[in-house]
Amino acid sequence: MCAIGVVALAFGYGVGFGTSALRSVVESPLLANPAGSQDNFTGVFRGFNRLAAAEMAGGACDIPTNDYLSAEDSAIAAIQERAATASLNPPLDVARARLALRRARVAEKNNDLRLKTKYEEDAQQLLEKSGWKDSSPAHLRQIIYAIDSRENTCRPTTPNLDQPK
Amino acid sequence: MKQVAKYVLLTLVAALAGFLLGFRHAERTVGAGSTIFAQMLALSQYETLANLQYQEADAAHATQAQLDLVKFMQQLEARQTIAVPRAFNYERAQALMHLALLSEQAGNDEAFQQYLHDAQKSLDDVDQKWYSEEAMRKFITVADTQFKSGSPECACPSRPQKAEERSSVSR
Repeated sequence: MCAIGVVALAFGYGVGFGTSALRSVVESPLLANPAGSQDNFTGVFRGFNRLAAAEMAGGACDIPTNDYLSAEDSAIAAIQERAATASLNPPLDVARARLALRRARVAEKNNDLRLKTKYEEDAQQLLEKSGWKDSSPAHLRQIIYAIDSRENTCRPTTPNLDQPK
Repeated sequence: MKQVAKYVLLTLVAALAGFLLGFRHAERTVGAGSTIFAQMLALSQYETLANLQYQEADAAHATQAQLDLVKFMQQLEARQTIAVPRAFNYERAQALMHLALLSEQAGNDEAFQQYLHDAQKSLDDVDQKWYSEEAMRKFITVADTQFKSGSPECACPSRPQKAEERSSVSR
């Protein structure tokens, strides 16, 4: 009798722990869908989770791939969609400029100088719109380098591409 | 028959009790970790963008970004339990000090005093100390320098400069 009780208790414990852990994983910053949030603030909150995660991955260890950049792009779009209705107005043009510069880096890596120039011009325009005193791509590149160095566990490994010029 | 019913009931009760225990335990461990991670990620990203605006943009855009950051924090506080209140209040104090300095630059002394007071209050809530205006200025200077240089160190006012005790400062 006692053994059955203990086994049932252990089984229930396992199922309960698993259910709660699974819920946490589904709602975790990396998996939660900002568009699926019920209220607008949560949508913005999750959008920033996604943006931060994609940005960390995009800036880490010299691996800015199109996957991360697309994730960043969709996170910005998700935030934009919900921000106004949540009475928020985050400086998303700065995030877009940063994304454009990361794309310019990828284009440079692929020796596509035309595309690189286009992304840099996009970044400059966005920064001008955001009221930056120095909206040059070189200045933003320098800032991104400092932020990447601070936030990532490993430093950029390709000096020609990552260090400020 | 009675015996079987007894076993079934015992099994169900034990399983239910186990489920509740397991669920609560996971909520306190895995769930709490996930909440801290989510709040840190969202806040740090929002702050990075707002602080870039503060440091690089004109006064109007910088003010708009910092006001928006404070609003985001207010909404977050209203909707979720803040996982790390000390860090949260320090970050709010930084945003409020930015607004205070922007008001000062614009010659709006009344707004400067109000934002300074709010920033002091934010730190008072966690440190139980009322930092002087000078300490707050040093605090924000250190925080901004660290943001620019990319240093992950905490810009806690009690470390680089002496904090004044509440009793010694008249509000």
